Amino acid sequence: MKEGYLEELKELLSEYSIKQDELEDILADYHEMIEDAKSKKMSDDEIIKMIGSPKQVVKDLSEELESGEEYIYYHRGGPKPERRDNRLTALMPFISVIIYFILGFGFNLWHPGWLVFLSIPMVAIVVNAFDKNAMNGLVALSPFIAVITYLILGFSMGAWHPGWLVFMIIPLMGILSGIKTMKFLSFLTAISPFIITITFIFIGTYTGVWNPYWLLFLLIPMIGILHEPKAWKVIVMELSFAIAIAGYLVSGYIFEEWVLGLFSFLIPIGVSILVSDDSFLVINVGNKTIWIMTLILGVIYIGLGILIPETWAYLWMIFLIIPVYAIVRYSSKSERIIAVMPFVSLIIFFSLGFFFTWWKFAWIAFLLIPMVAILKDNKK
Amino acid sequence: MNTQFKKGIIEICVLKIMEDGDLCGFDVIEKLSNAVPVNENTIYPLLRRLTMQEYFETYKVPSPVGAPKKFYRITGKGSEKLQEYLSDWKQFIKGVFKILEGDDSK
Repeated sequence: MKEGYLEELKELLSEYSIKQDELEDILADYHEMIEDAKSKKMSDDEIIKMIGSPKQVVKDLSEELESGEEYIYYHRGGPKPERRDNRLTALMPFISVIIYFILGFGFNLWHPGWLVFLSIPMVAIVVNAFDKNAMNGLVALSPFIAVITYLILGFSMGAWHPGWLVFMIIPLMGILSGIKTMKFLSFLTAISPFIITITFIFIGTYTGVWNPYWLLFLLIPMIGILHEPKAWKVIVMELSFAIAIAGYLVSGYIFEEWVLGLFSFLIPIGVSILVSDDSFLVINVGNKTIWIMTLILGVIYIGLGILIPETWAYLWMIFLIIPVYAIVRYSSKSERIIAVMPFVSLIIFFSLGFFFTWWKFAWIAFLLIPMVAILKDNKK
Repeated sequence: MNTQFKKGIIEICVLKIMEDGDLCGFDVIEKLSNAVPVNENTIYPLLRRLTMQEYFETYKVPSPVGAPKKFYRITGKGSEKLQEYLSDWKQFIKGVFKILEGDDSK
């Protein structure tokens, strides 16, 4: 009985985060307890009735010792005790006010001194998100890095446009966070829409020429095609794109028929339908939704941008749906709202600033991040 | 009863029981449970902690029926700690009774 009992106890205890020597001590205790009971001529049933089943013992031990000073146990599959130092987070509002007044009264730097308030959510993120995975912390910080860079570019150089492009680092950081598990080609495919958008806007803004530079966007499906395992299919599809681009340029530059030239793109569309088992835009079943979403958002963004040029500078926010979707899909329910808050705050901040030029007050939106984190923490 | 409060009292009781003579873990449980309701599973970890804090020392006695039995013996440090606890406890309980019975303060 003793061997089986101790074996079961060991197995159950090993599900807990517990040091090896502590585990051995506990087993030694129960070994001793059973031996003592036997020496008192107690039967197996009596012993188990007295000390409880291994399950009951583990339950008692974890309840007793969790609140006690001897050990801190927690179940590997359960919630882990969080012992983060939130004192700094709690102090940041006060520190920020002090620095703000020093900058304001001392140096008349009320503006852009208010930027110091951004340190409140940033410190909360640094304290809470840089726990085990530094990359997750960087992703969470990216909205702030983008905002600060954007405001510096805007206020000091008046480069509000195309300075807003800096917000592209947010989805880019999200993609970079998964780089360890990604193949180079997948990585290239994932970042291509953002790199191409940035390049396109820069060229368009500084040359004033948008056509035919928009052809750069065709690089996205052309990179995507490289995922196709059969070489002949890759060659055929890439060639169809090359022919279409050449046809479009010839039609435009030589015959000045840009709109008519668009029909040449029916070639790659037709070819991809013919040779591919699926559309070339579908990389695999796993990322199908993300790709469809990116495509739809890209079409909306580019379409509206061409129709109403003013939308370029703020409609980029629709791309935040991609990381938010990924968070909602892959994060645990309890962490979801905290992880999504930087993006929600960014949308509120940017909208208030862009539409009402309330940049000086809009930063308050970022206080939602620590507020939600604190409220969520108290619920636990 | 509050777990921490109960744990503190049980610790005093265990030290006091051991003052009367060396005992094995099982004997401690028996003596305790005859007087106060106690969870058997909490006693062995407590004995181990008190041993680590040098309030107890252990030795083994060969047993004719099985594995050698481990006995606990209170140390000088343990006795001192017990006196300290008892003094604190007496003072505390005196104050508690004073409040509960509402004696000379009226």
